[in-house]
Amino acid sequence: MLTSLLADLGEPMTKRADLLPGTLDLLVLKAVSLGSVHGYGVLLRIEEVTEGGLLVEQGSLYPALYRLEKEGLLATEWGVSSNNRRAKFYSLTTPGRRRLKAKKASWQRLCAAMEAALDAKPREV
Amino acid sequence: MWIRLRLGVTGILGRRRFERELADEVSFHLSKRTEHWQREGLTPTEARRRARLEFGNVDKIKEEVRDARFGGWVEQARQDLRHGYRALANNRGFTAVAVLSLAIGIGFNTTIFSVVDAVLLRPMPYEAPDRLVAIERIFPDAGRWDITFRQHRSWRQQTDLFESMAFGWSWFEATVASEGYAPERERGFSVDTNLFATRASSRSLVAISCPRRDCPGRTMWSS
Repeated sequence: MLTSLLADLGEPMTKRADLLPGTLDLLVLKAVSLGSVHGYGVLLRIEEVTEGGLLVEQGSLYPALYRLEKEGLLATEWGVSSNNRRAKFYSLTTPGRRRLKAKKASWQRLCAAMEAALDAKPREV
Repeated sequence: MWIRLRLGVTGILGRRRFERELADEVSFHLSKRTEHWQREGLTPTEARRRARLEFGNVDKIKEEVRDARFGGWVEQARQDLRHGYRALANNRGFTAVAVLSLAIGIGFNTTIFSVVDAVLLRPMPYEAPDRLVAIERIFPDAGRWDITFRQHRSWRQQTDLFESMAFGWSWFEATVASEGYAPERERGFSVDTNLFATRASSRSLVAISCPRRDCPGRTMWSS
Protein backbone atom coordinates (compact mmCIF):
# COMPACT_ATOMS: atom_id res chain seq x y z
CA MET A 1 0.00 0.00 0.00
CA LEU A 2 2.77 2.35 0.90
CA THR A 3 4.83 1.56 -2.09
CA SER A 4 4.42 1.12 -5.76
CA LEU A 5 6.54 0.39 -8.69
CA LEU A 6 7.07 3.29 -10.96
CA ALA A 7 7.68 0.95 -13.87
CA ASP A 8 4.56 2.12 -15.64
CA LEU A 9 5.84 5.69 -15.48
CA GLY A 10 8.94 4.73 -17.37
CA GLU A 11 11.04 5.44 -14.27
CA PRO A 12 14.21 3.38 -13.99
CA MET A 13 13.60 0.85 -11.26
CA THR A 14 17.18 0.27 -10.35
CA LYS A 15 18.48 0.94 -6.87
CA ARG A 16 15.22 2.15 -5.39
CA ALA A 17 14.00 0.24 -2.40
CA ASP A 18 10.34 -0.33 -1.56
CA LEU A 19 9.30 0.96 1.81
CA LEU A 20 8.73 -1.64 4.48
CA PRO A 21 5.31 -1.41 6.14
CA GLY A 22 5.37 1.04 9.02
CA THR A 23 8.47 2.89 7.91
CA LEU A 24 6.63 5.75 6.22
CA ASP A 25 5.46 7.12 9.58
CA LEU A 26 9.02 7.13 10.83
CA LEU A 27 10.29 8.88 7.70
CA VAL A 28 7.54 11.49 7.91
CA LEU A 29 8.25 12.19 11.58
CA LYS A 30 11.94 12.53 10.81
CA ALA A 31 11.35 14.85 7.85
CA VAL A 32 9.02 17.07 9.89
CA SER A 33 11.46 17.11 12.81
CA LEU A 34 13.94 18.98 10.61
CA GLY A 35 11.61 21.98 10.68
CA SER A 36 8.02 22.99 9.88
CA VAL A 37 7.19 21.89 6.39
CA HIS A 38 4.26 21.36 4.00
CA GLY A 39 3.22 17.98 2.63
CA TYR A 40 5.09 18.34 -0.62
CA GLY A 41 8.15 19.46 1.32
CA VAL A 42 8.04 16.25 3.35
CA LEU A 43 8.32 14.31 0.12
CA LEU A 44 11.19 16.47 -1.10
CA ARG A 45 13.06 16.05 2.17
CA ILE A 46 12.70 12.28 2.12
CA GLU A 47 13.88 12.13 -1.50
CA GLU A 48 16.71 14.48 -0.77
CA VAL A 49 18.16 12.83 2.32
CA THR A 50 17.84 9.34 0.89
CA GLU A 51 19.14 10.58 -2.45
CA GLY A 52 16.19 9.00 -4.17
CA GLY A 53 17.00 5.61 -2.69
CA LEU A 54 13.51 5.11 -1.28
CA LEU A 55 10.33 4.85 -3.22
CA VAL A 56 7.58 6.85 -1.54
CA GLU A 57 4.18 6.69 -3.15
CA GLN A 58 3.28 10.36 -3.04
CA GLY A 59 -0.40 9.90 -2.42
CA SER A 60 0.18 7.70 0.60
CA LEU A 61 1.99 10.57 2.25
CA TYR A 62 -1.27 12.37 3.03
CA PRO A 63 -3.13 9.59 4.82
CA ALA A 64 0.02 9.20 6.92
CA LEU A 65 0.21 12.93 7.69
CA TYR A 66 -3.46 13.08 8.72
CA ARG A 67 -3.14 9.96 10.81
CA LEU A 68 -0.12 11.33 12.66
CA GLU A 69 -1.96 14.61 13.16
CA LYS A 70 -4.93 12.78 14.61
CA GLU A 71 -2.65 10.91 16.97
CA GLY A 72 -1.38 14.26 18.19
CA LEU A 73 2.15 13.71 16.92
CA LEU A 74 1.99 16.50 14.36
CA ALA A 75 0.64 20.03 14.67
CA THR A 76 -0.66 21.87 11.62
CA GLU A 77 -0.93 25.48 10.60
CA TRP A 78 -1.84 27.22 7.39
CA GLY A 79 0.87 29.49 6.11
CA VAL A 80 2.42 30.82 2.95
CA SER A 81 4.92 28.82 0.95
CA SER A 82 8.16 30.19 -0.54
CA ASN A 83 6.39 31.19 -3.76
CA ASN A 84 3.51 32.85 -1.92
CA ARG A 85 0.96 30.10 -2.11
CA ARG A 86 -1.23 29.11 0.79
CA ALA A 87 -0.03 25.80 2.17
CA LYS A 88 -0.56 23.64 5.23
CA PHE A 89 2.55 23.35 7.37
CA TYR A 90 3.28 20.44 9.67
CA SER A 91 5.47 20.56 12.74
CA LEU A 92 6.41 18.05 15.41
CA THR A 93 4.67 18.11 18.80
CA THR A 94 6.31 16.93 22.00
CA PRO A 95 4.63 13.52 21.83
CA GLY A 96 5.74 13.44 18.20
CA ARG A 97 9.33 14.01 19.19
CA ARG A 98 9.05 11.27 21.79
CA ARG A 99 7.53 8.88 19.26
CA LEU A 100 10.27 9.64 16.75
CA LYS A 101 12.95 8.86 19.31
CA ALA A 102 11.34 5.58 20.30
CA LYS A 103 10.70 4.48 16.71
CA LYS A 104 14.21 5.41 15.68
CA ALA A 105 15.70 3.34 18.50
CA SER A 106 13.59 0.30 17.68
CA TRP A 107 14.39 0.64 14.00
CA GLN A 108 18.12 0.75 14.74
CA ARG A 109 17.82 -2.34 16.91
CA LEU A 110 16.05 -4.12 14.09
CA CYS A 111 18.68 -3.06 11.56
CA ALA A 112 21.56 -4.12 13.76
CA ALA A 113 19.95 -7.51 14.37
CA MET A 114 19.18 -8.02 10.68
CA GLU A 115 22.68 -7.07 9.70
CA ALA A 116 24.22 -9.40 12.24
CA ALA A 117 21.94 -12.19 11.08
CA LEU A 118 22.68 -11.71 7.42
CA ASP A 119 26.43 -11.42 7.93
CA ALA A 120 26.65 -14.57 10.03
CA LYS A 121 29.32 -17.05 8.94
CA PRO A 122 28.83 -20.84 9.18
CA ARG A 123 31.21 -21.30 12.11
CA GLU A 124 29.42 -18.74 14.23
CA VAL A 125 26.16 -20.64 14.25
CA MET B 1 -14.19 7.67 24.16
CA TRP B 2 -14.83 11.32 24.89
CA ILE B 3 -12.03 12.39 22.59
CA ARG B 4 -13.44 10.21 19.84
CA LEU B 5 -16.87 11.72 20.36
CA ARG B 6 -15.50 15.24 20.26
CA LEU B 7 -13.56 14.49 17.13
CA GLY B 8 -16.74 13.11 15.64
CA VAL B 9 -18.70 16.26 16.44
CA THR B 10 -16.11 18.69 15.17
CA GLY B 11 -15.74 16.31 12.26
CA ILE B 12 -19.35 16.83 11.27
CA LEU B 13 -19.23 20.59 11.84
CA GLY B 14 -15.88 21.14 10.18
CA ARG B 15 -16.41 18.68 7.40
CA ARG B 16 -16.76 21.22 4.63
CA ARG B 17 -13.71 23.11 5.77
CA PHE B 18 -11.82 19.85 6.01
CA GLU B 19 -12.75 18.92 2.45
CA ARG B 20 -11.72 22.34 1.14
CA GLU B 21 -8.40 22.21 2.93
CA LEU B 22 -7.68 18.71 1.74
CA ALA B 23 -8.42 19.71 -1.85
CA ASP B 24 -6.15 22.76 -1.44
CA GLU B 25 -3.38 20.63 -0.05
CA VAL B 26 -3.57 18.11 -2.87
CA SER B 27 -3.69 20.77 -5.57
CA PHE B 28 -0.75 22.55 -3.93
CA HIS B 29 1.23 19.32 -4.08
CA LEU B 30 0.30 18.68 -7.71
CA SER B 31 1.18 22.17 -8.88
CA LYS B 32 4.52 22.07 -7.05
CA ARG B 33 5.30 18.75 -8.66
CA THR B 34 4.24 20.05 -12.05
CA GLU B 35 6.63 22.97 -11.64
CA HIS B 36 9.34 20.50 -10.69
CA TRP B 37 8.90 18.49 -13.88
CA GLN B 38 8.73 21.64 -15.98
CA ARG B 39 12.09 22.68 -14.58
CA GLU B 40 13.34 19.24 -15.59
CA GLY B 41 12.38 20.13 -19.16
CA LEU B 42 8.94 18.65 -19.68
CA THR B 43 6.17 20.56 -21.44
CA PRO B 44 3.48 21.92 -19.09
CA THR B 45 1.02 19.24 -20.21
CA GLU B 46 3.56 16.47 -19.85
CA ALA B 47 4.68 17.81 -16.48
CA ARG B 48 1.11 17.91 -15.20
CA ARG B 49 0.44 14.38 -16.44
CA ARG B 50 3.61 13.13 -14.80
CA ALA B 51 2.75 14.78 -11.49
CA ARG B 52 -0.72 13.22 -11.49
CA LEU B 53 0.61 9.77 -12.34
CA GLU B 54 3.15 9.99 -9.55
CA PHE B 55 0.58 11.11 -7.06
CA GLY B 56 -1.83 8.27 -7.71
CA ASN B 57 -5.60 8.16 -7.70
CA VAL B 58 -6.62 11.45 -6.05
CA ASP B 59 -10.10 10.30 -5.03
CA LYS B 60 -8.83 7.09 -3.52
CA ILE B 61 -6.17 8.96 -1.56
CA LYS B 62 -8.68 11.51 -0.33
CA GLU B 63 -10.81 8.63 0.88
CA GLU B 64 -7.82 7.19 2.72
CA VAL B 65 -7.18 10.58 4.32
CA ARG B 66 -10.81 10.79 5.47
CA ASP B 67 -10.47 7.34 6.99
CA ALA B 68 -7.23 8.35 8.68
CA ARG B 69 -8.74 11.55 10.02
CA PHE B 70 -12.23 10.43 11.04
CA GLY B 71 -11.89 6.68 11.01
CA GLY B 72 -14.39 4.93 8.79
CA TRP B 73 -17.45 4.44 10.96
CA VAL B 74 -17.77 0.85 9.81
CA GLU B 75 -14.22 0.17 10.86
CA GLN B 76 -14.75 1.88 14.20
CA ALA B 77 -17.99 0.04 14.86
CA ARG B 78 -16.22 -3.20 14.04
CA GLN B 79 -13.43 -2.38 16.46
CA ASP B 80 -15.88 -1.43 19.19
CA LEU B 81 -17.77 -4.67 18.71
CA ARG B 82 -14.61 -6.70 18.81
CA HIS B 83 -13.44 -4.89 21.90
CA GLY B 84 -16.78 -5.49 23.59
CA TYR B 85 -16.74 -9.14 22.67
CA ARG B 86 -13.24 -9.60 24.05
CA ALA B 87 -14.04 -7.79 27.26
CA LEU B 88 -17.09 -9.98 27.80
CA ALA B 89 -15.25 -13.17 26.87
CA ASN B 90 -12.46 -12.34 29.33
CA ASN B 91 -14.87 -11.86 32.20
CA ARG B 92 -17.24 -14.79 32.14
CA GLY B 93 -18.73 -14.13 35.57
CA PHE B 94 -19.61 -10.55 34.76
CA THR B 95 -21.01 -11.61 31.39
CA ALA B 96 -23.21 -14.26 33.01
CA VAL B 97 -24.56 -11.78 35.55
CA ALA B 98 -25.15 -9.14 32.89
CA VAL B 99 -26.91 -11.55 30.52
CA LEU B 100 -29.00 -12.97 33.33
CA SER B 101 -30.00 -9.50 34.57
CA LEU B 102 -30.99 -8.50 31.06
CA ALA B 103 -32.91 -11.71 30.48
CA ILE B 104 -34.79 -11.44 33.77
CA GLY B 105 -35.38 -7.73 33.28
CA ILE B 106 -36.73 -8.17 29.78
CA GLY B 107 -38.83 -11.16 30.78
CA PHE B 108 -40.26 -9.33 33.75
CA ASN B 109 -41.09 -6.29 31.68
CA THR B 110 -42.73 -8.39 29.01
CA THR B 111 -44.89 -10.11 31.60
CA ILE B 112 -45.88 -6.86 33.29
CA PHE B 113 -46.64 -5.26 29.97
CA SER B 114 -48.80 -8.18 28.84
CA VAL B 115 -50.84 -7.85 32.02
CA VAL B 116 -51.06 -4.07 31.85
CA ASP B 117 -51.97 -4.27 28.19
CA ALA B 118 -54.74 -6.81 28.78
CA VAL B 119 -56.10 -5.20 31.94
CA LEU B 120 -55.62 -1.49 31.38
CA LEU B 121 -54.73 -0.61 27.82
CA ARG B 122 -56.80 -2.85 25.63
CA PRO B 123 -60.54 -2.19 25.80
CA MET B 124 -62.60 -5.10 27.07
CA PRO B 125 -64.15 -7.12 24.26
CA TYR B 126 -67.65 -5.89 24.97
CA GLU B 127 -69.78 -3.32 23.38
CA ALA B 128 -69.66 -0.73 26.17
CA PRO B 129 -67.03 -1.80 28.67
CA ASP B 130 -67.01 1.60 30.35
CA ARG B 131 -70.62 1.03 31.39
CA LEU B 132 -70.01 -2.38 32.89
CA VAL B 133 -69.63 -2.61 36.66
CA ALA B 134 -69.29 -5.35 39.25
CA ILE B 135 -71.08 -4.95 42.54
CA GLU B 136 -69.61 -6.04 45.85
CA ARG B 137 -71.00 -5.97 49.34
CA ILE B 138 -68.60 -4.60 51.91
CA PHE B 139 -69.43 -3.77 55.50
CA PRO B 140 -67.28 -1.19 57.26
CA ASP B 141 -66.71 -3.41 60.29
CA ALA B 142 -67.27 -6.90 58.94
CA GLY B 143 -65.56 -6.65 55.56
CA ARG B 144 -66.68 -8.36 52.38
CA TRP B 145 -69.69 -10.54 52.38
CA ASP B 146 -71.02 -12.80 49.72
CA ILE B 147 -74.08 -11.61 47.91
CA THR B 148 -76.88 -14.10 48.00
CA PHE B 149 -79.17 -14.63 45.10
CA ARG B 150 -82.04 -13.31 47.20
CA GLN B 151 -80.15 -10.14 47.97
CA HIS B 152 -79.38 -9.71 44.29
CA ARG B 153 -83.01 -10.22 43.32
CA SER B 154 -84.22 -7.66 45.82
CA TRP B 155 -81.69 -5.10 44.59
CA ARG B 156 -82.83 -5.69 41.09
CA GLN B 157 -86.38 -5.05 42.04
CA GLN B 158 -85.61 -1.96 44.11
CA THR B 159 -83.29 -0.01 41.81
CA ASP B 160 -83.49 1.32 38.31
CA LEU B 161 -79.91 2.59 38.58
CA PHE B 162 -78.79 -0.08 36.14
CA GLU B 163 -80.15 -0.94 32.77
CA SER B 164 -79.91 -4.57 33.62
CA MET B 165 -78.45 -6.79 36.34
CA ALA B 166 -77.17 -10.32 36.23
CA PHE B 167 -75.97 -12.69 38.90
CA GLY B 168 -72.96 -14.94 38.88
CA TRP B 169 -71.84 -17.21 41.69
CA SER B 170 -69.01 -19.63 41.17
CA TRP B 171 -66.13 -20.69 39.00
CA PHE B 172 -65.98 -24.20 37.68
CA GLU B 173 -64.07 -26.26 35.21
CA ALA B 174 -65.81 -28.40 32.64
CA THR B 175 -65.05 -30.39 29.55
CA VAL B 176 -66.84 -28.95 26.60
CA ALA B 177 -67.54 -31.41 23.85
CA SER B 178 -69.66 -31.30 20.77
CA GLU B 179 -69.88 -33.44 17.71
CA GLY B 180 -67.16 -32.93 15.19
CA TYR B 181 -64.87 -31.06 17.61
CA ALA B 182 -62.19 -32.28 19.94
CA PRO B 183 -63.30 -31.94 23.57
CA GLU B 184 -61.73 -29.05 25.43
CA ARG B 185 -61.24 -28.27 29.07
CA GLU B 186 -62.65 -24.84 29.80
CA ARG B 187 -63.03 -22.63 32.78
CA GLY B 188 -66.50 -21.27 33.32
CA PHE B 189 -68.47 -19.07 35.62
CA SER B 190 -71.99 -19.83 36.71
CA VAL B 191 -74.38 -17.03 35.82
CA ASP B 192 -78.07 -16.55 35.60
CA THR B 193 -79.77 -16.10 32.26
CA ASN B 194 -80.05 -12.37 32.76
CA LEU B 195 -76.40 -12.11 31.86
CA PHE B 196 -77.02 -12.78 28.20
CA ALA B 197 -79.72 -10.16 28.00
CA THR B 198 -77.38 -7.81 29.82
CA ARG B 199 -74.62 -8.42 27.40
CA ALA B 200 -76.84 -8.09 24.36
CA SER B 201 -78.19 -4.69 25.30
CA SER B 202 -75.80 -2.24 23.81
CA ARG B 203 -74.90 1.15 25.19
CA SER B 204 -76.55 0.35 28.44
CA LEU B 205 -75.43 0.43 32.02
CA VAL B 206 -75.08 -3.08 33.27
CA ALA B 207 -74.39 -4.35 36.72
CA ILE B 208 -73.23 -7.75 37.70
CA SER B 209 -73.57 -8.84 41.25
CA CYS B 210 -70.71 -11.06 42.06
CA PRO B 211 -70.42 -13.14 45.21
CA ARG B 212 -66.69 -13.54 45.10
CA ARG B 213 -64.04 -10.97 45.08
CA ASP B 214 -61.91 -12.58 42.39
CA CYS B 215 -64.44 -12.30 39.65
CA PRO B 216 -63.88 -9.16 37.63
CA GLY B 217 -66.84 -8.47 35.42
CA ARG B 218 -64.94 -8.97 32.27
CA THR B 219 -64.12 -12.59 32.87
CA MET B 220 -67.71 -13.42 33.57
CA TRP B 221 -68.36 -14.97 30.23
CA SER B 222 -65.45 -16.42 28.50
CA SER B 223 -66.52 -18.50 25.60
